[in-house]
Amino acid sequence: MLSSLKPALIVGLVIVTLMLLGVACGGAEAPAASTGASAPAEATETPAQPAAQATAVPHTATPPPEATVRPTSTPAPTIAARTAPTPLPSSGPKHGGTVRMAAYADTKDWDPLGSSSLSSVISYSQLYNQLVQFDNVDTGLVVGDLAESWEVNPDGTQYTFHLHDGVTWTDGEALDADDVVTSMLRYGNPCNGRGRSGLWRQYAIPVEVVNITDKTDCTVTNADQVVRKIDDLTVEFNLAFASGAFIKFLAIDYAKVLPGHLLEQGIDLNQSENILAHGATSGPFILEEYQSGNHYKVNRNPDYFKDGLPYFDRIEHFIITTPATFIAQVEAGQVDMANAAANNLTATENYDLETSTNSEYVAHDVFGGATRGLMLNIKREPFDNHLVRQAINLAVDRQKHNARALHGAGRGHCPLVGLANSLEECESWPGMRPKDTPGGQEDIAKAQALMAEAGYPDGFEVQYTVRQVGTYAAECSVIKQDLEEYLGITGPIETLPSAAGYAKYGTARPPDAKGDWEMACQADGMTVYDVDAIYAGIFLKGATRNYTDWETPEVNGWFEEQKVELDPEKRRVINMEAERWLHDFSNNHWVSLTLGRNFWVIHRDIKGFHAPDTVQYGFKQEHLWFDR
Amino acid sequence: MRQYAIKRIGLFIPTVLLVTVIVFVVMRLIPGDPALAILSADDAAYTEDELRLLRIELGTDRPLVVQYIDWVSGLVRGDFGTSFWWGGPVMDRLGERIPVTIELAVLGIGLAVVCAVPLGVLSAIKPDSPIDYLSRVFTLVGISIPTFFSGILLTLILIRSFGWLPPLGYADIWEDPWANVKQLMLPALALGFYDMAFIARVTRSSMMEILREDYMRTARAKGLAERLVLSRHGLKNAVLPILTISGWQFGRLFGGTVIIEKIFLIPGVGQLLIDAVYQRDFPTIQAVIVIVALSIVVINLLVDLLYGWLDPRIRYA
Repeated sequence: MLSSLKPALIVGLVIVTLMLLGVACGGAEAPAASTGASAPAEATETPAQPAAQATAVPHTATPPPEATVRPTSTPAPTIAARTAPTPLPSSGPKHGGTVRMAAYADTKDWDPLGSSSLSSVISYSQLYNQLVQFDNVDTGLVVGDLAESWEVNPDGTQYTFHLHDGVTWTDGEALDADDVVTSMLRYGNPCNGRGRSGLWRQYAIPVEVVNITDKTDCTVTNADQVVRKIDDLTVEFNLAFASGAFIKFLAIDYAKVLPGHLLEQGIDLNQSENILAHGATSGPFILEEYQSGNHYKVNRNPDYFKDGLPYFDRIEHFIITTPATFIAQVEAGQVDMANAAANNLTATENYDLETSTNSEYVAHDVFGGATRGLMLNIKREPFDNHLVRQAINLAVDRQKHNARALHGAGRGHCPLVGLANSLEECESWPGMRPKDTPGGQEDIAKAQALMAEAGYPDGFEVQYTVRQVGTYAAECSVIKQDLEEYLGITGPIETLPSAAGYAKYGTARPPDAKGDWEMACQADGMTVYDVDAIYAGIFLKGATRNYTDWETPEVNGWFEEQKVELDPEKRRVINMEAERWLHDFSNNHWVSLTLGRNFWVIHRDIKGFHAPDTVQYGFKQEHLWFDR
Repeated sequence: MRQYAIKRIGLFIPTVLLVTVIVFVVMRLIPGDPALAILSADDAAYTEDELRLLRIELGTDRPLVVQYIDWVSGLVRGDFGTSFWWGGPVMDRLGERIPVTIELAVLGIGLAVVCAVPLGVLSAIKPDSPIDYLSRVFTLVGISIPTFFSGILLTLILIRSFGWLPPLGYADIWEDPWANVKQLMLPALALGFYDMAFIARVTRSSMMEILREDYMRTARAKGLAERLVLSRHGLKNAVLPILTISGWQFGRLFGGTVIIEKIFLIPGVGQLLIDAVYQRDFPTIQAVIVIVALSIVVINLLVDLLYGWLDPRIRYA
């Protein structure tokens, strides 16, 4: 009876199944070779080392003898590289190839103005240049980018940059001092958000505008006092005080020089379609396509002013935000590298990825992403009592924090993160010692005595607050265990969406407010590896993570003294003293915990990579090449 | 029928207005300040003055009523405002994303219906047969596995068993249809998996009920071929609950796309919504929710009208 219907239905089902199989099998061919078999013949030749790299004069090569720029004040803390060094390439750099990169998040900005977003700087960094940049090999050293050389006046308050001659925008217009002045005044204008592109503001003579109160007139009134065009290829920057850190904030990828002629026409370069339409970029790559939420693709700039660079013909960035998808795409060989030391994976997952790909992919360490700490609201009881804060600093187990919350990938550190006293030195200080050693036991006993002296022999109840991002919740839960076990401090952990967390921390800002939070686990992102970044982030009044506006004359004094000290060793000595004082916790609001580690996941066939000191720079990708 | 349609459409406007009020109020009730989210991206530094100036620029310093009226009057003109996040018109990005999500949802529900209806019918006409048991196991599994998990599971099976994944990127269906199908088929399958199971189950029970009806026996008694009995008298009558469920499921699919688009890197509205939520981009979140709510209301309205057209008992009730 049903016989006539059955075959029809079965045929229908078979067709659907075949369709699905067809789709799956049809795409089952191996992904196209990333190096691009159809690359033009000349693309495979091995060029000489780029001329511009050789001519971009690093500061040490430029007179006067006062030192054009203060060298890195303190060597970066040493932490053994976990990964094996990348094998030596079979030959010199090669041109050609399409590289597929994974972006950990979609870009928010195409214009660096007010930009603080890592996912954004990665996207626009390849399109534009800075005045100076961090060296590709010695990644803490500032070298020229658009600036061929520069000088600093004897008192260190005036920088004069000499631009490369003959640099043009991709629309044919000359890139000159006007572009630099226009770009920098935008970043310096107080009407605009500082973001990371305007971090140099803290050193320069402040830009003044007609009306800042309600932003009704943002016309700059003192342009020449801040950034001045001397001639078409010379620009002068004037600082409020001498500072070696200033040049580093100009060297980060955020401080891009944009086409002044387009900005003056009021063209919104934050919109990718305007960049595509007007085609005025200067960087190693040219934007070809942006599809929000999915990908952006760039092609080699054939007229790039640095001879021979970049090496890749094309970069395709795919926005892969979920960790499982990133792992799957890497294992399937569909991406060649992550385009930053950010991939939404934990340290363990990064290590596992190396294993699962038989080390075809290497997770390169970056050990300066962020300093993690425990924020104490000193406006509220019992944290207004310095004895309680001192006890907490002694009782926290940094080793456990690192092992459990950061998968053992970080390292305990003192307040100035190894840029003053070395991490090795600091590890012997009270509070830093492992809790299962005699020193650690001594720290616990001292912490308990301090609590008793403060009137809390049995501890107290407290609320922890964390933002629902990164490892903050795990970090607070480890801290909670320590404080409960050693000091009897207990209480719930409140988790909030990121912006809500910041809003809550901000409730402690007004002078007459106590704030709605008590303790919080938080990190301070380091843009450059310099103590000034730590002071400005944590230890000065108004600092980003100083939500209670904690302030002491001691720290202010040390900060002022060290910021104008041009001798790196003398500067370091001042900071060593400051760091000891901060760590003693006779008065402090921030319990320094652990320096985290981030990872650049890169295929072994990609050469020319040297991990930067922090996660916030090194995105032009002009020195990378395929060894295939 | 006209009165029925007018009544249904009459309910549409207050529903949409209510949606705008709820969306707007809820967005303001949940903690989090867009200006803070923008300034503190990646733990960056900012000053209180910068925060104040950005609030002025975003307009979040204005009274809520003013903000609401401003937003709704924009909506009426088709202007969803300017994104707090990327600074461009929300409508521009929605224009890019909506077709992608619609395509994914249509493919998902299409796959679900195409596979589920025959499966349900087969299962109903051969109760307690091996195919019925298989179908029942399939529907049980399908209903039990959440969409996000089936997506991850499918990815894992493909990568572990075949070392293959859909190609990266997104190809427009009009520019490269084959690449588009390759990219969307797997997410559509993951998205439609639950619905496939659910519709198959509904089809089976609906069909079994119909098969026992007197008119089916009459149809057979008058000598009609079984194929005609099942398709003209059986399936046509069983389709009413399937239609209702499919309409309702289509709305639910929009929820599923949020996760599936994230897993399979599909640049649709769901992914936009997640990014906007992270960035506290009120205009984008509001626009997406209003559009999704609107589409669900419209689909339900269409299903109601279709239902009334198919079954006279409903429109005269």
